[in-house]
Amino acid sequence: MIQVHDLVKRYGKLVAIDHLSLRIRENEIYGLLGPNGSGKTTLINCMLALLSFDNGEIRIDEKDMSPTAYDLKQKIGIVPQEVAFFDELTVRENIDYFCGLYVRDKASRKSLVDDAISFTGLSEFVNFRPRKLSGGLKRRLNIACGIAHKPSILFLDEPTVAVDPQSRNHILQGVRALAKNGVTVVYTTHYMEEAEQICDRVGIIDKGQLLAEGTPAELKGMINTGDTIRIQLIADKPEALQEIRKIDGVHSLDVDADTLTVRTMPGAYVLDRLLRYLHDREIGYLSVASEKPSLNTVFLEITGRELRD
Amino acid sequence: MFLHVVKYRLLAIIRDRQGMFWMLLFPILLTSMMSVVMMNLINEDMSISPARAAIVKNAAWNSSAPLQDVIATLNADEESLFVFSPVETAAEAEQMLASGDVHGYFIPDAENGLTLHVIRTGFPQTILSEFMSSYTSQARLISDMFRTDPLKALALAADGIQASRLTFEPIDPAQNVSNPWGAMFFTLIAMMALYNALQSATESTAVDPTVYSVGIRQRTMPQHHISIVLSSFAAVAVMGLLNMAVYLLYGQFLLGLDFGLTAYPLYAAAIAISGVFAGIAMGFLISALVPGKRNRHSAVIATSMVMVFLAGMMVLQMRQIVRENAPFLKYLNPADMITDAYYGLLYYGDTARAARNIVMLLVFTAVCLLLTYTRIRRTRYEHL
Ligand SMILES: Nc1ncnc2c1ncn2[C@@H]1O[C@H](COP(=O)(O)OP(=O)(O)OP(=O)(O)O)[C@@H](O)[C@H]1O
Ligand SMILES: [Mg+2]
Repeated sequence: MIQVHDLVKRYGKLVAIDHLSLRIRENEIYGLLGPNGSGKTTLINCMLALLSFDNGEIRIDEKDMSPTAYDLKQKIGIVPQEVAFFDELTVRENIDYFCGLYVRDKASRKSLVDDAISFTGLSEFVNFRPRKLSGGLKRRLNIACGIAHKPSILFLDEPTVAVDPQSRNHILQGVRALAKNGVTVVYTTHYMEEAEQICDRVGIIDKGQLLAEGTPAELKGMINTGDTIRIQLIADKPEALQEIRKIDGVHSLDVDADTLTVRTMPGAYVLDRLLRYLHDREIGYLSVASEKPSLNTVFLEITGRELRD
Repeated sequence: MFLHVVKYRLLAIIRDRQGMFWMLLFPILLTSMMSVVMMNLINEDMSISPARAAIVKNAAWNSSAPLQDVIATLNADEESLFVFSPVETAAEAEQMLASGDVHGYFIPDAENGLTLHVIRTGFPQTILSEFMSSYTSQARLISDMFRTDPLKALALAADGIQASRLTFEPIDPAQNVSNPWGAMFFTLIAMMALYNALQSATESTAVDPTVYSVGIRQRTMPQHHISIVLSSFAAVAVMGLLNMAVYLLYGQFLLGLDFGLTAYPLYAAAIAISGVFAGIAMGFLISALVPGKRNRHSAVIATSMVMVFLAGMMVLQMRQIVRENAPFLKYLNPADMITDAYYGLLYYGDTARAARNIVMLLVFTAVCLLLTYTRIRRTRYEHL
C-alpha cells in the first residue's frame, strides 16, 4: 500500500530521515513511535509529497507519490500535527470547505459532512467558530476536516497531543472504527500506550532511523528483560544493594538516590525473593511497583534512552 | 470548485472584522475627517475673506512708484487676496487694526522695505507677512499661488507668521480647477486600492504550508495548487471592488468630493478597478518574497505607505519632487499611477493620460502576478 524506500531527508547539515525504508500494509493501523524530533512529521510530509527529499522513493498503491498525483491525493486524508482550519469559518463550514475540494456533488457532500460531524462528536458545536472550542474539540475538528471525504488512507500526526483523557479515548476509538471500515491509517505518536493500544504494527523511529518494527507483542518479545520493579527506599543508597544482582532472575539493577529499579529476566518471578532480601537486611521501603514490559522498555533497550524526555 | 472556494473565502473575509476595518471603514473615516477639515479651512480663510491691510502714505511711499503700482494692481484685481487701504498716518492705521477693520498695516521705509504691524497670528496675517517679505518681485505670484494651489498656501499658514521662504513653482498649474483640494483625496483612493494587498497577503498565507498549517492541508488537496490560489484571488478581488465602489460612491455623493463618477464614469471605474488589481497583485508578490505572516503584513503596510507618500499623500509637492529626481519611480509606484490618472482626468479632462496610467497599472499587476507565479510554482518544499 505505502512503500518508503531508502529515504533520506536533510535540513542543511541535519539528517532528519536517515536511509529509512518501510512498508505499510493495506487496512492496518501503522504506528510511528518516536520521541520529539525523531523525524515523524518529516517522514509524513515526505510521504505526502509536501517536502522534497534527497534520496529514496515513495510509492502509494504502486504509484509514485508526487505533488500532482491527484488520483492518489483524492484517496488520502490528513490530520496535521498543528490544527489546520480557518478561524473565520464555523465548524461545519470548515469541514464542508475541505470536503468540497474532494467532492463536488453538493448532496453527497452534505451527508459526508454530517457523517464526519457525528463521527467526531461535534454535533453540538456545528455553528461554533474554532476559537470558542476547547483544545480537545479543536483536535476533533482537525480530524473531521481530514476524514469527511472518506479517504482510504489516513495520516494522523500526533492527533492526541494536549488532549484530555476523554477526548483522547474518543479519538482512539474513532481511529479504530475507521480501520475497521477498511481505512489504512498511519499514526504517529510519542505515547507508547497509544501505540500499544490501537496499532496493528509499530515502527520505532529515532534520529530518522527505523530501529525496530513489528506488532506490539513482537516488539516486546524482542527484548530480553521481563518486568520492571521499582522500589522507593526510606534511606538513600543503603549499603549491600549490589548483591541484589545475585538474586536468581534479576537482569539488571539501577540505584538512583532512594529509588531502586530492578529489571527481571523474561518470565522470571523475582518480587518475592527481592522483598525477602530487603527484609533480611532490614532495608526499609515506602512503596513497590511492578510494571509489565512496554514499548517504553523496548525503546529504552534499543536506544538506551527513555521515550519521553 | 472555483465557486466553492470563492464563496468560503468571501465569507471569511467579511467576518474578519479587523480586516474590514482597515480595508473599508478606516479609509472612509479618514476621508470624512479630511473633507470636513478641508471644507472648514477653505470656507473660513480662503475663498471668502482676502487679507486686509492698511498702508501708511509716508515719505517713503510717496517716493516709491513701484510700491504704489503693486498696491494699485492688487487692489484692481478682483481675485486678489489682498485689499489695501492707504491711510495718511500711522495712528489712523493703528486704530483700524485695533478695531479689526484690517488684519495688519504696513509702514514703508526708505530702503524699499515694508514693516508689518499685526496684533494676532493667523492665515491673513501670514499672507501679509509673505507679502512684506517679497513684495517687490513676488507679490503677484503669491496671489497667483493662492488661486492655483490653496493647499500649499494652507501649509504656509500653519507655519505661522515667521514663514519667510516661499517657492513659487505652482504644481500642476491648472486652468479649470474646480476643486483643487480634491488632489489630496486621490491619494486616499490610492491608499484604499493598495490596502487590498493586506487581504491578498492573508490569502497567500492560507495556501502557504511554510507559515500556516492550513496551507499544509490545502497542499494535499487533489487540485492544482494554482487553481486554489486563483480562486482566493477572485474572492479578494470581488471584495476589493465592492469596498472601492462603496468608498467612491460615499465620497462623491455623500461628502461631495469629485471622484469623476458623473463626468467620466467609465474612466473613473477603470482607474479604480485596475488600482484594486494592482494592490492585490502587489500583496501576492510581497507575500511570495517575505516569509512569515506578521512580516508580510508589516511589509505590505510599509510598502503601501511609502508608495502613497511618494504619490503626495502628506506633502502634495512630493509628486513633483519625485518626478524631478527619480522619474523612473512612477513606473514602480501604483499609488502614483492612480493619483496621476485622476489628476489628468479631473483637472485637465485628459482621458489619454488616465488611459496611459490604467495600462501601466494593468502591466504592474501582470508583472507582479508573473513574478509571484515563478516564486510559488515549485510545489515541493525544502523546508516545512
Ligand atoms: N524546517 C526545518 N528546518 C530545519 N530543521 C527541521 C525543520 N523541521 C524539522 N527539523 C528538524 O528535523 C528533525 C525532525 O523533526 P520532525 O518535526 O520531523 O520530528 P517529529 O518526530 O515530528 O517531532 P515532534 O514529536 O516534536 O513532532 C528535528 O531535529 C527537527 O529539529
Ligand atoms: Mg511532529
